[in-house]
Amino acid sequence: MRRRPGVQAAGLLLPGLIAFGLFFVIPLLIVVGVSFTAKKAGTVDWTHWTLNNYVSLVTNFAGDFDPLYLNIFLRSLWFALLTTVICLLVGYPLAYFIARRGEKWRAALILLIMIPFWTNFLVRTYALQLIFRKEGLLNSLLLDGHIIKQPLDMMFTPGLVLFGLVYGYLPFMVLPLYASIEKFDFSLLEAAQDLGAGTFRTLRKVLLPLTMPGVVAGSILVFIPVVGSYVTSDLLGAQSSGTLMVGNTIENQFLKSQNWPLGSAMSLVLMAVVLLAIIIYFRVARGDKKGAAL
Amino acid sequence: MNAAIVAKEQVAGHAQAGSGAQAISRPPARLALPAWLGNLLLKSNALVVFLVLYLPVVILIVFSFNAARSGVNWTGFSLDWYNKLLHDGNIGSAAIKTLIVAGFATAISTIIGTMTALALERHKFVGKVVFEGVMYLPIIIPEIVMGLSLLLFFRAVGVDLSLVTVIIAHVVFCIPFVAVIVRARLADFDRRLEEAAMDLGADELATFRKVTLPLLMPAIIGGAVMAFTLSIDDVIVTQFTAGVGSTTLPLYIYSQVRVGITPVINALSTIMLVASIGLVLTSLFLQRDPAGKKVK
Amino acid sequence: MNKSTEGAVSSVELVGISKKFGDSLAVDNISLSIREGEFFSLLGPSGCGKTTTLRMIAGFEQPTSGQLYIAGQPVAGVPAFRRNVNTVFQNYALFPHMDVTDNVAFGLEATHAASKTEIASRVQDALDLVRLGNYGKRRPRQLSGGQQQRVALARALVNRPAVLLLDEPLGALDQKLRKEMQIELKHLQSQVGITFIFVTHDQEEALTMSDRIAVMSNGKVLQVDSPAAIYERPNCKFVADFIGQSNFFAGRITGMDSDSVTVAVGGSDGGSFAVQAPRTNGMQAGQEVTVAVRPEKIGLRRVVGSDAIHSNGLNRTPGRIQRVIYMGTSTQYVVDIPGGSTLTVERQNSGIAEPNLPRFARNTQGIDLPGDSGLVEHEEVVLEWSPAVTLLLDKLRCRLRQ
Repeated sequence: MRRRPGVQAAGLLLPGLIAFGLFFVIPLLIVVGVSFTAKKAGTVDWTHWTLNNYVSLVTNFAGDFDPLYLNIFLRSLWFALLTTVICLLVGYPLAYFIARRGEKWRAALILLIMIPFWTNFLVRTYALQLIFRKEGLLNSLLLDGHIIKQPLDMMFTPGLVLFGLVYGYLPFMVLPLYASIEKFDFSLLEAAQDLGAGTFRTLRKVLLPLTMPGVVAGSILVFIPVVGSYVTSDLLGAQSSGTLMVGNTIENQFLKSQNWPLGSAMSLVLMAVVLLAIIIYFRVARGDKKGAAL
Repeated sequence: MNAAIVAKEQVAGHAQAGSGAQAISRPPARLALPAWLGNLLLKSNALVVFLVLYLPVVILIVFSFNAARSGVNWTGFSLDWYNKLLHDGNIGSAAIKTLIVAGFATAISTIIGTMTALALERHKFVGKVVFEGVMYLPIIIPEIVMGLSLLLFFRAVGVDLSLVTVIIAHVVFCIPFVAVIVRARLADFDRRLEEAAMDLGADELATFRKVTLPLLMPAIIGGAVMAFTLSIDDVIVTQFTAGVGSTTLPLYIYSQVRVGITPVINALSTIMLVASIGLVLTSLFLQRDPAGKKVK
Repeated sequence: MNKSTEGAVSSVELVGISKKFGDSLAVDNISLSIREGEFFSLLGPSGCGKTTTLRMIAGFEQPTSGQLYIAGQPVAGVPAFRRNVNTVFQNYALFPHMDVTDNVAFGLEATHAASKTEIASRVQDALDLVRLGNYGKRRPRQLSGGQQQRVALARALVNRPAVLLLDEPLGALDQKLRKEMQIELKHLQSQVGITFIFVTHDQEEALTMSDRIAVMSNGKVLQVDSPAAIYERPNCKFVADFIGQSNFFAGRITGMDSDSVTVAVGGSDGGSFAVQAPRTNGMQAGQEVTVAVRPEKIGLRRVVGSDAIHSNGLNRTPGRIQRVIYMGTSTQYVVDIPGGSTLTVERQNSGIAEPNLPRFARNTQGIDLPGDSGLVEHEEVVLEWSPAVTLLLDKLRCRLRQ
């Protein structure tokens, strides 16, 4: 060949390399750096280095252990976990249902799942407000139907935030699941039943292990954004004590308090937590895989 | 199929354990959902999900035509809010800015994403694995971290925030999506078509132009649509990288929704929804495989 | 610049070609000289290296060592798009996004070989040649397998290459269509007159179509010969086994004569008998050999009287029929012979009455079936064959004869 393949590859790679090196890797490194500096409103003070930011994540001003931020992190993880699980429980049967339809139905149904995805995320979440707030739709229906006497106060509760998260991220779970289930050879289910396996055994030992890649992909695509999200908890939770998430806190630090170092420190901890969660998840998922078929 | 054999062995193994040495009779009662019940459960689950998914959207659309300003009482059909929408200067300029950002971001990220996909799928090179990992990170890193990292970067470099910084940010998180989509199509690509072209006398460039690119186009378009969708919808990263006067539509909506809601937002959302659907249907049409096969 | 010993210019010449993929040797030091205008087949089981060899001629792989010449010119390092060689791919590789005309015209346009009008007329000629003259506007997906294959042929031939390479092109077609295409391809080749190099694992196909066949196994060429020579004079056990059927015996040369040898063929339980075979170079008394006889060369008849001892110059052994397999044009008999082994015999169901086979078979309705010899299981028979068709093969090596 006239040109060495290596040169061709380099040419193709260069723009991506520059884009990523300059605007992704370096900024992340800067975040790491900033997390060790002292607060200076609206800018970075590169002259003062400190570990204070990390320390203050677990202590209060007096220097005693303060679980405030810890709780926020845990709550975010918990919300993310719940959201992932619920999305899985609801999304898997849905994906299975769609995958079993005929070709025309499948395309149409997937399109239908996608359409809400194409409405603006904010707008969808806002629509939930319309339904659930005190003078919202649900309450007026219940009042008019004489099912309740007083309007329910559902806004700004953890439950609502959770609902909003599931509502917002369900398509991210359904699509990878569908992609995986669609490749599944359904005659395997018949084979299992022919051999005497009941429904649950068949699902557990045949369907689930072979669609595990979809489950893993969907779970990651839901869990990670939810851990760091703040729009939903902002709109539906208004950052009340029961609904404050890590994302909100970081946003506050950056855009309101202008405490960039603290915000950076939190971000790094967040990323570490996310990476840890992924590793644990993969361990668990792989362990399942080894036990099951193939 | 090997999987079928293994599955059979597995299931048979457990079934055997239950039935002992009986050769002819079935193992004792295994719990099996009758088919009709299973189907019913699946159907009802699907139905409920679709209802829940669409209800807020439908309400949104319906109330954009409600004459009343707030509250949930239907006071009459009205196009007032659409009227107000069209005359709202803020929304208009925000929409233009959104389109500008999305346009540039889509174009740039599609080109870079396609080139990167080609490089990753077809070449080996030093540090490939590392590069791949870094490339896919934006998909899994929390958006908020990406946003603030760029904010810090621009500050550190002394660049003012503006639409340009927003475009750069969008390009960075769009590239991996484009690359994944194009790469998936590349993986399935029949290399022998390229060999046939070269066998017939087309050199590498001509082969790429006449054979590879046309057949790759559906995936490239798909990637572009994905990038566009992500860009016009983005809030978090945009919030961190937009300067004063670079308010995009999502940012505008976010500020409005936090403060006070008028049905103008409903009207805006309805239009955006219709536009999105129109865009996607157009792209599906454009994504028709030039070979004539249906797109999945 | 490279001529074979016959003095004709060779169309394609491989000298000591090897190809390694990582640690595995796909093609092991092969040398071939393919003549101009020849229909030459590479025949062998999957994985024997025939496709790799073809791809090296096409230019999609570079040899790890050795030299390659096309029309006398060395082509090392010359990329595929500059070689005057065209390929018909196994799955046709038609461009799905172009119609038939554009597909066929592709090569001419890519190499700027002619003006637009000339290209159009050449494309039409090529399509007429494969009898698809009216299909120019169709898309590949609208064509049947056989039609796609012909488009692939037209697309290759329109460029007037020096050599046409065909990689198992008939593999995807059903039986009847295959046979038709075999005849068509052969006819086409004689019409167009260019060298065809044909890769296949179907030995019947290779025998039917080729001027010469190279039998390959494990990256090596075992024998290069005309179909008849390959079939009647295989030079090793692999070739004798891969092409057609053979009966094999282990034996030892016990006696030699000026033009024949005697081989003792041992049975597993000690019984043995002797066979005669033609003498060739390199044979020695006491040598261990493999004896091979093809099923259709063995005649069988009922035992009559005392003819067991009467010698008529043929190799002979008694036997008992174990199984009868009726195959329409012929019947195969699996016969147990003394010594524990079995011989497979194939006999045409010609319906011609022979000595000692006077009675035809009669079916359950009492109707005569002249094509069926009437021999049944457990019958005692005598098997005879000529020494001339008795092959002696070296147990271990395949001697390559060009």
